[in-house]
Amino acid sequence: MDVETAAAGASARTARFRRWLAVLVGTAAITASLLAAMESDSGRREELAFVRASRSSLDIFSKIAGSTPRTQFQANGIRSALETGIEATARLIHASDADQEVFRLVVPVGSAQERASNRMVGVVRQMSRVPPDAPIDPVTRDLVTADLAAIRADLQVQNAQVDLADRYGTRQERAMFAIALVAISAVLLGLAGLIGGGRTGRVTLVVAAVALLLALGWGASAFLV
Amino acid sequence: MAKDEPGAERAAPARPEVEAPPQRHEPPPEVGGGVSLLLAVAAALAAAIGGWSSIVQDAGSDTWHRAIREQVKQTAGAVEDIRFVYNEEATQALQVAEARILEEELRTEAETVDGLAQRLLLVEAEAQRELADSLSSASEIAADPRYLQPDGSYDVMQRLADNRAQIPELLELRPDATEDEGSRLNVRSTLLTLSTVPVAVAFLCGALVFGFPRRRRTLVNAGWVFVALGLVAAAITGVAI
Repeated sequence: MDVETAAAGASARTARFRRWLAVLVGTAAITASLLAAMESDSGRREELAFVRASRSSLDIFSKIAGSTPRTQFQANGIRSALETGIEATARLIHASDADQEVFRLVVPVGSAQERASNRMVGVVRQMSRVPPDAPIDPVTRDLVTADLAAIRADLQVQNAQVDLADRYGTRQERAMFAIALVAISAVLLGLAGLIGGGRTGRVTLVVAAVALLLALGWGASAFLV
Repeated sequence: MAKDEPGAERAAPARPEVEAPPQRHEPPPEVGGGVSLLLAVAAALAAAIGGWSSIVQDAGSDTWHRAIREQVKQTAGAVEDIRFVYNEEATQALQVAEARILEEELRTEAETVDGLAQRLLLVEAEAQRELADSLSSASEIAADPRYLQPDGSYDVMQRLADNRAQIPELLELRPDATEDEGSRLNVRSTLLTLSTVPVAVAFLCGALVFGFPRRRRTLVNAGWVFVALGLVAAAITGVAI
């Protein structure tokens, strides 16, 4: 090969080097913007899932705290009403062992207590009811009427949201690592541009291309999570 | 490496062939100021859109956090009202109702007997009335005839509603709507970030000019089109969504 031929070949290599450099720089820019969008979107989805998980946790604890007073009130009220009834029965039983005069005094009191006990149970039930047309706001209604099924449903939502946050967190981490690889690739591309189309420059360009390919692969793998 | 060095070339001056002449100082092709401007504008626009997206994202994030705060405030107020009404007020009202029921039943029973039994029942009934009166004076529910029901019970739901209405700001809180607003802002932020993709394509066009100088005009024009696309996309996202 004479000098002219070698110079022409070198010039062609330089032109090819520049083309690859230009293509890779542009590709790095597009890859970076796509990965940034993916990283940002995954981060936001992760945060939203955490927000929803937090709100579901709040739902669970506020429903437990909000439904307990009504059920406690009902249980205590019925217990109190039954105590009155039991006392009436006990009075009547023991009055039968007493003399006739005491029996005549005690029986009417016991009868009154027994009827009162039955009415009291009805009153407690009425005061514990939450009718459909109750004038309370929807949030208070949800809390007061919450039962185990509602709390379990919230727990399922909470767990699902935490899982979702975990998934998007992993996706975000992969996107971040891919962005780091793009940054390394960009640095190597800049270095290759400075070095020029010699052997060292070409090796640097190849390494930059490999880093960019790795970034693309790693970024794409985030969608498999 | 040795063959690139000048010393190596001097050592074999008679060699007719060389494999690789020096390339480091070959100047880059002249691409004109238009390309530099395109690259600079693309980079600046991408940075500006990115910054805008961050600001919107931050606002969306804050709105989501506000939704949690609103829910804490709302449920804490509701739970405290429920606790107070059922554990304090309704319990006392129930004692009043029980005393009144017992009083009524004792008086009813007193009508069926006479003599000492009747007097005893009336005394017991009077004691229950005293008890009910004393308790009701200290009970917000029992003292207010609005809450009294025909069966002798009290309207606890109405009392709860009245208690909740004392702080109307808590009833006006809408954490779900606040969360939706945060989501809307975050969607806008994501779309803004995606608006940088056409700008990055414009950057690609500008960079390609260095590799394909003959297509300079086409690439630069295409670059400006992509810059305009990115700008329009960002503007539409920022204004309409």
